[in-house]
Amino acid sequence: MSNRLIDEVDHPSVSIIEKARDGDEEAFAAIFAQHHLFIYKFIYAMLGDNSLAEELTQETFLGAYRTIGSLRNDSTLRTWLCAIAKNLVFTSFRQNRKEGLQSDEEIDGLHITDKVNPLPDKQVLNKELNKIILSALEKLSEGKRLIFVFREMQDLSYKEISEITGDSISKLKTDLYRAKIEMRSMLRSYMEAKK
Amino acid sequence: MNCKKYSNLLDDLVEKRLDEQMSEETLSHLLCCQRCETEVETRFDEKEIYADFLCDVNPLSDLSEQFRRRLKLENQKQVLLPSTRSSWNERLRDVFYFLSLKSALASLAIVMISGLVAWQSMKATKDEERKTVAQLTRPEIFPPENTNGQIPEQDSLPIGKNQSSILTKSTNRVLRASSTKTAEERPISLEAATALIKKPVPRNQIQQAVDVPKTATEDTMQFIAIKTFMTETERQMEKVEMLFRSFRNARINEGNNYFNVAYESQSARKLLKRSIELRKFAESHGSHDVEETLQTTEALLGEIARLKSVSLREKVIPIKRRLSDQNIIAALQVF
Repeated sequence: MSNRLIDEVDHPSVSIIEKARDGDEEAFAAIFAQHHLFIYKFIYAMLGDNSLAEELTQETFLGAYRTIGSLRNDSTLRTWLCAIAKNLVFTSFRQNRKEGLQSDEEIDGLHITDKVNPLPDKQVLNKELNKIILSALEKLSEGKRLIFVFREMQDLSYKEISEITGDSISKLKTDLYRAKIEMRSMLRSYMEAKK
Repeated sequence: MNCKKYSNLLDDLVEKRLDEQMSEETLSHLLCCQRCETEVETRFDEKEIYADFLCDVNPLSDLSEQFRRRLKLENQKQVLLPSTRSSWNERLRDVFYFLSLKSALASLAIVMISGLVAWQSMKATKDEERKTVAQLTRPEIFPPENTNGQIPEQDSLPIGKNQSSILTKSTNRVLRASSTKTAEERPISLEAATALIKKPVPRNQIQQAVDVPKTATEDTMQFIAIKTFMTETERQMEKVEMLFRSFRNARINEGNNYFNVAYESQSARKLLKRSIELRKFAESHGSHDVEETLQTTEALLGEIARLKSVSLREKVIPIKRRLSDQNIIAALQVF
């Protein structure tokens, strides 16, 4: 990828989008390089599945490539990509519900209490913590999980989240408040152990 | 302690959304409130944990390379199938570019709902009509609601609210009258009914239509003929009423003793002919009230028709007076 293209991605400009619109593969690859990690992390946090997150990340960008003509100049590229990813994630939720892939047993299997190993080393602790957070996230409703991941984990603004979800900011704030309370209650044992 | 006031600000403090003054104020509160201080610490810890959660998360494989390959494949597909990129949905989108998906769907829904409603109402009207025909033409199979063997009164005719839009009050009157007769006494076909509308028609032609052999659909035709007759009668009454009003309002020419009633006289002649035809039909079907009304109007129409274009005051005024005395215009209006 040429340095010029990377510069264009780093410094917001519509020219790279214009090039991608014209079917310029390099331009689109530059967009992918810039945003794919953000999208991947979002999908991973929502689904908790690494391979599925990889697959859906690529699907997100392929979808964006096919429909980049519909991207309005005034909407930010990241928000638009997040909206596509969100739709794919929700489709995946629906499929999972139909196929019954995620049973309660699997979720419970991830839920590890701190009482099992009171003094783990840092690496093990981090791994444990990630499992606990993933398990807690899975227990949140899909809407709450979405706002929680976007706001608390990916630091998107309420305005950006509102553009992605189409919800009002006040609704988002309420959902986030409830999600935080639920998450706190689920992580309480870990937090107490940490102290 | 004013914990309630500051508890709402703790999130903003953690998110660094407070201005300098509020931030200092909140921090000074934290110094003297152990509970709030613990709460803020917990929130900072949580924020850190959540922010760190995704830091170490990375795809296991090289996504960029995989994506490039998929992108190439995608482009090859488009080359092989050039129509896929500008497929029908994209063309449609170009055509309806001014409509967003939501508004397009809303419009489609409105059109579909209105279509459905129109279809339902048409269906209901047809059913009502069919039911009425069946009740009138085959009372032995589809007896009217009042089945005590007598002819129902005007208000209790087997014609519901919806049917009233199909058949008017006066139609009911004729239908009631005609229902007393047998099929042999009502030998009229669709052609005969049409013949009544078209004018002028030679009398023998109407007679031919009247004498057509009885068929399976004769009863339906009978009903249509009556309906047509009543529509025509109503129209006739309206015209007569208008003519009478016009005649009543005719003004005398200034400076002389004459009325100009050329229009009224000419119209009266036409209406008289038509009235006679309709009266004969009413007579043959036993609709005596219609017959009577027509007869009353005919007398006046005859007098007006006999007037010259410019008539003397002495000839016009008595007719005007009769019009007022008999309240005939009001009667026609009620009809």
